[in-house]
Amino acid sequence: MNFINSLQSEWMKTRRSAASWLCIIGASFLPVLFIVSFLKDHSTINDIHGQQNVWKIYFFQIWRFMAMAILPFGVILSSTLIAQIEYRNNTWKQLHTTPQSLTTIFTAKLLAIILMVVKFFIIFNIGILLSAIIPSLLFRHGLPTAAFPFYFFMEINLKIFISCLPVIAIQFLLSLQFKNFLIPVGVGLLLLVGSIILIFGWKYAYLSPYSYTILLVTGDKTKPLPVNIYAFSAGYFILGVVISYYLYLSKKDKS
Amino acid sequence: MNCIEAKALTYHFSEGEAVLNNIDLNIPNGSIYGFLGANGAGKTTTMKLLLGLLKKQQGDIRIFNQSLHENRQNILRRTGTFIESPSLYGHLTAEENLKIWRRIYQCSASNIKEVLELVGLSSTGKKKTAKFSLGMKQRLGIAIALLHKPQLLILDEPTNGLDPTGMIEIRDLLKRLNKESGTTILISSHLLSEVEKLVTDVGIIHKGNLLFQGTMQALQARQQQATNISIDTNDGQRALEIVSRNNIKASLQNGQLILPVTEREVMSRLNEQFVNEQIEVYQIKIVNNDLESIFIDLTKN
Repeated sequence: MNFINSLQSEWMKTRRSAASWLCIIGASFLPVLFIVSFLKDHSTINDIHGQQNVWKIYFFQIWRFMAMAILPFGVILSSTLIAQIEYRNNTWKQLHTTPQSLTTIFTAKLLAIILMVVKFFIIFNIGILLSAIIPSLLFRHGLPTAAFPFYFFMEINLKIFISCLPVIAIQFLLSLQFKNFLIPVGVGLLLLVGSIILIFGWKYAYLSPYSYTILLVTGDKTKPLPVNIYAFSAGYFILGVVISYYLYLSKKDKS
Repeated sequence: MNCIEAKALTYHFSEGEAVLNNIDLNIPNGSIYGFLGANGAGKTTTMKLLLGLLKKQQGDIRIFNQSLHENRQNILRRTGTFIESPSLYGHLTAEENLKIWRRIYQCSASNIKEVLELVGLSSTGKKKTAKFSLGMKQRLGIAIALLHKPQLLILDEPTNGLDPTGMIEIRDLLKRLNKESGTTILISSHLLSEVEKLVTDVGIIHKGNLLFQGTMQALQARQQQATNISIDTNDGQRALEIVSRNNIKASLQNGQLILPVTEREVMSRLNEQFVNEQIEVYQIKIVNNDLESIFIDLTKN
């Protein structure tokens, strides 16, 4: 019960925060763009639903844009913004004098970030569906009438979500350590850009924890990666969280 | 019975000089304890140690007769805090801020309205706290400390930034809480005049050393003792010799003879001796040291 209260309090802090706005705007940006594009030139829908597996192609297309362009930046920024709420408002001292264990505070904060990413996924998925359904209803195209691949839909979401976990853990770690917001954001963006460069020029790019979201949507299916990137993602996530937890507990000044 | 007992608290930042040097604090149950010292004297460090915000290096802390190390959460459940500056989420309203802390303390929802009224912020509505004036922020910080009706309040310079009326209001509020609910209050300040009308007990800290600890009456008695007589003459040195011959301890300060308050007859006899020895006496006056100068004297020495 205590933990649920702590988690609720962490979630309440995100209300109207920059991270929350970023989540809503970032997640709805592409669906809105697709709706506008379909409404502007609705014949483009025909290009999609003329093919087999129409939903799958559509999902993959929109997810590819998202995973390459917006999601990694969004995860870096929102993870950092949520973790930094206490530094920005000078509230660590108040939080650390509440009757909660440090483990509860740490876990509730981390979970609030993960929930924000889940919220991002939910808004984006609703956006995907609406961006397909609204133009199709208006112009009587066949996209929504095709069988809905629910399993594929959940699978692609889960895979991309797992690929985000290392970024969440590392950004969380950096944000708890540095008071200056620019350091975790700067380091995060540097690692992301570095990973993008590595993906197109180095066969061991999968070693970078910031590469998985992009690797998932750019990979060549005829040449599968030599490693299981989901296992790597989970490994980096656990490692990041353990180091972050240790550093958080060992801070001498908790104000 | 003490609410807070700290023994031999010592704290160093890295390898440097001790910020706190063997501090013993005894804060009686139901008291309002004024913790005084100049900026950088070690007040905030002491308070942070009492709340476990800084890792204790040496010494022992007991609050509500429980070890802070072993019962931190239980102690914090009964303690309200305000350290250095108000802790507010600027993008939220006053009520939303309080809702966050209420969730953690699991106290009644009606407490929010109650504390907002207590600190005079019940009409702030949808205004975000980032747009509050310094005084309003300070009041909301105090409201957060009071939200769960704690038995102990630890307030670090809570009236900083408040106008005189605001200061009086907060002072009255704390007095009322202490009187009606028996709340023990530890309040720090760098100005004795700010808290002398409020506190029952005082601790004076300077450069990490506790120079005085006791009741306000004990400090006032010290003030009485520190009241002197100043005599202005044309020959201070000879006047000092005469006073010494009368077995009275005196000193020369800026040419003025300073001696403790004595009986009227003794003063009259001294004056007669000065005149007999052809020393011109220009002025004899009582020098009244107020509490503030006692505080300054203590910290200067």
